[in-house]
Amino acid sequence: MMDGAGHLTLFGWPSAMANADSGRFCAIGVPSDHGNGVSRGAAQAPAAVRRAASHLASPRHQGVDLGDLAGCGAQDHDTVLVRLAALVEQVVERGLRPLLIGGDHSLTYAPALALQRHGDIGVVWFDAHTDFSPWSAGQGHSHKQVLRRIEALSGVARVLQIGYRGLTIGDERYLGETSTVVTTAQARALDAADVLRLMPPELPWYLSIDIDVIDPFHAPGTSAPVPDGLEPRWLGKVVGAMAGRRKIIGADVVEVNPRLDVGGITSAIAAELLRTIADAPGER
Amino acid sequence: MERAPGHVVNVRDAPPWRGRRLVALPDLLLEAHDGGYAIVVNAASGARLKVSSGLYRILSSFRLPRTLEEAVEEAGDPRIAAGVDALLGRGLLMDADRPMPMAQPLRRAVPYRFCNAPRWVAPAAGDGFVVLGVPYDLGGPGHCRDAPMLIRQRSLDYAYLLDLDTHRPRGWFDAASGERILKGVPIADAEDVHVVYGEKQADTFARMETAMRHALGERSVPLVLGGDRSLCFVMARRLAMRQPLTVLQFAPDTTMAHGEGEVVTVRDVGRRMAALEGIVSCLTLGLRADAGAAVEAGEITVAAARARGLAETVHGAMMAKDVLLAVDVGVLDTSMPPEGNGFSLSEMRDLIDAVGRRHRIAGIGIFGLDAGGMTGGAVAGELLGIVACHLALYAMHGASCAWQGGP
Repeated sequence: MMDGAGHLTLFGWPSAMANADSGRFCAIGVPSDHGNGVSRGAAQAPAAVRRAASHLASPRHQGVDLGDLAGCGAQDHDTVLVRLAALVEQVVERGLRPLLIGGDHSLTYAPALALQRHGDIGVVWFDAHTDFSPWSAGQGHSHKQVLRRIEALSGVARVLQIGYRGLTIGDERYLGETSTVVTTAQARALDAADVLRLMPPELPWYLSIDIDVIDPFHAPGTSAPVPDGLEPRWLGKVVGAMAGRRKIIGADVVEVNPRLDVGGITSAIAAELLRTIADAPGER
Repeated sequence: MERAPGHVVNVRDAPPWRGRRLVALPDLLLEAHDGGYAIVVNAASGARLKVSSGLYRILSSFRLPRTLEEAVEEAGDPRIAAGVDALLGRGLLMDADRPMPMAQPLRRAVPYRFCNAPRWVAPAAGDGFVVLGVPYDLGGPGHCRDAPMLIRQRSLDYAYLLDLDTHRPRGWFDAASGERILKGVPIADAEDVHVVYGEKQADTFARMETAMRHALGERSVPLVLGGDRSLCFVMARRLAMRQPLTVLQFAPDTTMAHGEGEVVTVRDVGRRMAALEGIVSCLTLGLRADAGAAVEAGEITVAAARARGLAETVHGAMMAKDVLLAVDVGVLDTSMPPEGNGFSLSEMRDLIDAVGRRHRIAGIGIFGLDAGGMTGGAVAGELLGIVACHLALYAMHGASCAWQGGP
């Protein structure tokens, strides 16, 4: 199923689940960008992010890296998501936590679907966009409406969207009864403790980080940049606090597009965020 | 060779071109042809003309300069002579030895319109914006002529839509302020000014000024997509005819150098504008720290503006009620990652807001976008195109605040 054997792994982690301690992160690359209607290229991100991560110090807690989900380019997007959800299910049953390297943001539907089957979860959605585009009959999974799909899952009890910004057709600050939207302008005025107050501690949380939440002059390698984004340092602090002080059941970093990157700086930020998540002494 | 409108040729008279060498226009393309008609395009002007097949055959016989007698066997046939006269009258055929000077079109069509706003058709009576692209960059060293197209292309992500009930523009929701901006504010795109690279700058500027005069209603605010910032000179000259005007330029380097020739350049445009009638003051904000001793009166560095406070810097300047806002996007910090040398988009927004609160923004220019010349390559250029769209829309919001009773 995986084709990562013998390849560079995230932080040099081993590639077999067999001996991994329960609660450790399990990296899965998903080289698929079929849900991105803007640009190809996010499929190259797992390899680029692993390369960038190889320059970083290993996080304190060793995980495993299963490599990339094989066959993404030869299967319909629905099939890829079904297979990814099944793989995440296996990872969870093994007592591990999925740590996905996208790929485009539509992929997050798969881990959310799998994880909410085990009980109510909260989802933190770092993104310049709300990804709440209206349904379009007959269209497949898209990175533009993936949060609308996830919010509708019965086991998703809370959604915390952070980073909405720019000029949009409508006011997207209200995404439903279970959702809270923190715009980039609002987020700048908050520190990590303020953000944590928006995340009920009794709920397990899934962190999804679309790299476009960061200012595009810091992270240009993404397909739908919106100017005036968050600074990487702010995001790192907040993600670190979340990973350290909330029960994190999984995470992903998506929409890194090496084809559009400048000197690999976007992949480097993505790798640093993954390291922050894996390094935190969070509840496992 | 000139004919008064409606002139009818009497084929029994010897036409004035008889015996002269004629030639088909060199820029003609055949777009369509069937048994009865041909559609001929004048590639120089973009004009399309439908002619009969017979007329097209006559036209084709003048690919090289020749007299009618040399080109056509039946030169004496009065119908042939009438056809030649028609071709001359429609500008498809010309005198090879005394070519008429070609009148340049004022504007040229563009593939995209800013925010997909409606095409401009006539000057509006009320408040509103008219977008005009000017792909002219011979006043400076950068390649900015592609910027109008790039900005318009990127602006399609911010679609201009109408409210279903009121049929008025919906504007956009601004997530940062939590407000809807430019609601009810009409925008029309008047395409690009026709630029002939190599002609005298004064001719290009005259054409731009004529295009502005044609397109702008009394209360219209122009949004000019340059091009380099030398174009600001034309905007200032035109807008100062309405009201006393301050020109507030955002630029990374001096605009107050002494002119060295007849061409207005990006380095001396400020000084030249300051000398125009109706210009109250001319300020440049955003010079880089390394401008050092070169900073002239009326020029403020990024560091000085930050030290004083952005709004205070704007409010402390002596300015007329009407302000022409000219943004050279080079004033922005476009390094990756940012190094803080130029203004951030957020700072630019604060500065524009500060202008809009106390002044009437009479015109907006976005200049200096050299997409290919950026350190980050094409990606950075595209990104700067998006930033330019935001700057334009923020500035338009600042201008519209004066119509809507303040921000």
